[in-house]
Amino acid sequence: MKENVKKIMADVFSIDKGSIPDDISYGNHEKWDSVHHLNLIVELESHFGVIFEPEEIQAMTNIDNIVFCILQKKM
Amino acid sequence: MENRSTYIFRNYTVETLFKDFSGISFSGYEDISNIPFDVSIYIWFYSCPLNEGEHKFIEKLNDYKQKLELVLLSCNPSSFVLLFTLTPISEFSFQTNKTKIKEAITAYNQNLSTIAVCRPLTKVIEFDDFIKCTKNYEIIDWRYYFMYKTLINPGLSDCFSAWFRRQWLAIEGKRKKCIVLDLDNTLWGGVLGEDGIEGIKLGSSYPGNAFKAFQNMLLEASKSGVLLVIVSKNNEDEVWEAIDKHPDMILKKNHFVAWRINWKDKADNIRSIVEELNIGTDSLVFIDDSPIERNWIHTALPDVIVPDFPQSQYQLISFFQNVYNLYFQLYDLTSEDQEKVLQYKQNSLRKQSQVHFTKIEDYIGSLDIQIYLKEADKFTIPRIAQLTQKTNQFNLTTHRYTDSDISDFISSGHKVYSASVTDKFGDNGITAICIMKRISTNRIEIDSYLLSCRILGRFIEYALIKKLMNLAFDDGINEIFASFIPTAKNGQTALFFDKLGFEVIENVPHKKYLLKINKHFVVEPYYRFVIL
Repeated sequence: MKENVKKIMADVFSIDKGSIPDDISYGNHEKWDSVHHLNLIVELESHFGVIFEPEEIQAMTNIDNIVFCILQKKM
Repeated sequence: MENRSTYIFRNYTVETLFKDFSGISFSGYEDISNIPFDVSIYIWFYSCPLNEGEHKFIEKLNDYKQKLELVLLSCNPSSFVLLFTLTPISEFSFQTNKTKIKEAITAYNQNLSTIAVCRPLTKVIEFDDFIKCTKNYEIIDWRYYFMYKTLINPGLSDCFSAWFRRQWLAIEGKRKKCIVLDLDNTLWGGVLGEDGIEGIKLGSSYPGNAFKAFQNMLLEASKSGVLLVIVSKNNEDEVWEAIDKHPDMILKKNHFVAWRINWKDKADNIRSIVEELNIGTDSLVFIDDSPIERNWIHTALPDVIVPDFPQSQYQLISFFQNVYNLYFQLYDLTSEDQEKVLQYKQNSLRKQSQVHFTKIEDYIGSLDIQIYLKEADKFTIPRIAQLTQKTNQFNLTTHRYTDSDISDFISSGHKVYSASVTDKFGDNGITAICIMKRISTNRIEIDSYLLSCRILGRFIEYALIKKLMNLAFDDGINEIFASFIPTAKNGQTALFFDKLGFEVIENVPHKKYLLKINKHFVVEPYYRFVIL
C-alpha cells in the first residue's frame, strides 16, 4: 500500500519514485504544494475507488496518514 | 501549445485542469496586477461567480469586463489571447433571478466576440463545448469548491486536456480536408445494386431518416469547407441515377468534388483521388460501413483516419458529430474555407480543358491568370499563418508559423507577401506566401516560400518568385539567399532554386543557395500582376 501511494505520488509530482523520502510531508517537499496536493487526492480517489472527506484531505499530509485514511475507507 | 509560455488569468482554481501542459503560469484570483509581457499565449479563463446574489453577480461581470480591457491594453500585442466564454456551470445556483443573470452572461460573451473581431490573434473559446462533452460527470465537486476554490471538478482534467488540445489544434489549423464516403449502408440503407432506387432506405421512417439526417450533416460539413468524395463499389450509372432521382437524396452530384465508383481496389481509388485533388492521404477521413474495407484502408494507407462505423443507424448523428469535432473543427471559419469546395471543383474543370491545347504555355496563357500581391496586414495574417501550418507539398522550408510569428516578422522589418490568384474559372483567394528576411541593405533571405496545391500546375511558382525578386531588386537588393529543407512531402520542390539559377553554397545540414542579381527576371506576360 505504501509503495502504491509512493508510485502515485511520483506520477503526480513528476519525480522519480526512488527519490521520495519516507518522511515526505505536505510543505516539506518542494513539489508537495496545494495544487499538487489536490491532484494527488484526485488520483488517490480514482486509484483506490474511495472518496475522502474534507477533514481527511486536510489530514493527509504524510504517507502514513494517507495510508491510514485509505485503509479506514476500505474496511 | 507545448514549448510556449502561457499565462492564465482566472477567478477560480484551474491549475489541476492544466496539469498535463507545461510552461503555464497563473494569475491570482481575479488578479490583474501582474501582466507579464514575455508570454506567447494569454488565456482569459473566468468562470461564472457562484456565490453571489443577482445584483452582485452582474456587478462582478462588469468588473471582469473592465479587467479584461485593462489586460488587453497592457499585454504583449504580438501574442495570442484566448478568451473563454462564461457558461452557467450548474443548474443550481445561488441566484434567484435567472433572466437577468442570463442576460448578463450573454452580454459578457458578446463582448468577448467583439474583442476577438477587433484584436488580431484573439480567439474565443466556447467553454460550453467542454461542459457538453463532460456528459453525466459532476461538473462541480463541492468538496473541492469549498476547500480549494475549484469550480470545475479536478477529476475532469483528462477530459479537459483532450478538449483543450483539440481547441488548440483547431486554432493552429491542422485539420483534415476531405471525407471519403462509401454509399451502400453508409449514405443510405441497403444495397443499390440489389434493392434498386425504390428499395434503398432513405427518407422519413427509420432507418431511412437516420441516413437522411447523416446526409444533411455531411452537406453542412461540405458548406464549411470539408471536401466530400465517393469511393464505392457500384455501377456508376446506377449511382448517379439514384442520386439524381431519389426524392430524399440530400447530397447531389455537385456536392462531391471527386468520385471513384467502380469495382477496383478502394486503396488504389483513394490514391488516384488524392492525386487528382492534390492533397495528401493524411488529410483524409474514410467512412465505410464495411469492417473489411476499413481494415484494408487502415493497413494499405495508414495515414488515412478510419473511424469505426456505428453498429446502429440511430448512432450516425453522434458518430459524425464526434468525427467532425475531432478532425474538422476549425476555430473560425474563414471565407476562404467556404470557397474551397468550389475551387477544387473548378480545378478539375481546368484539368478537363487542359486537353485541348498542345502546348502547356498556350493553355496557361488562355487562363487569364491574375496575381494580386500584397504585403501582410492584420486582415491577411491569420490566413498566412494557416497556410504555413497546412502547406506541405510546395513548401521550400516548411517553417510553421503562428499569427504572432508573422506579426513579429513584420515588426522586425522583414517582408511578408501574400498572393491571391484569380483566373477565368474563379478566385482562388490567398494561396501563396513568401517571407523575405532582410539581412542587410543589399541582402535578403527567402525564409519561406509556399504555394497551396490548389494553384500548382500553372508555373505560377516561377512567375511569382521572379516577380518578388524583381521587386527586391528595385529595393536595392542584389544578393538573395535561400534554403531547401527536405520533408517527406516536398520532394517536388527539391530543385526549385537550382532551376532558377541559384548557386549551392552549403549542403549540410540542408542545401543553402545564393543568387546574385543585376537585372530583372523576365516574367511571361500572361501572368498579370497587380500590386495592392
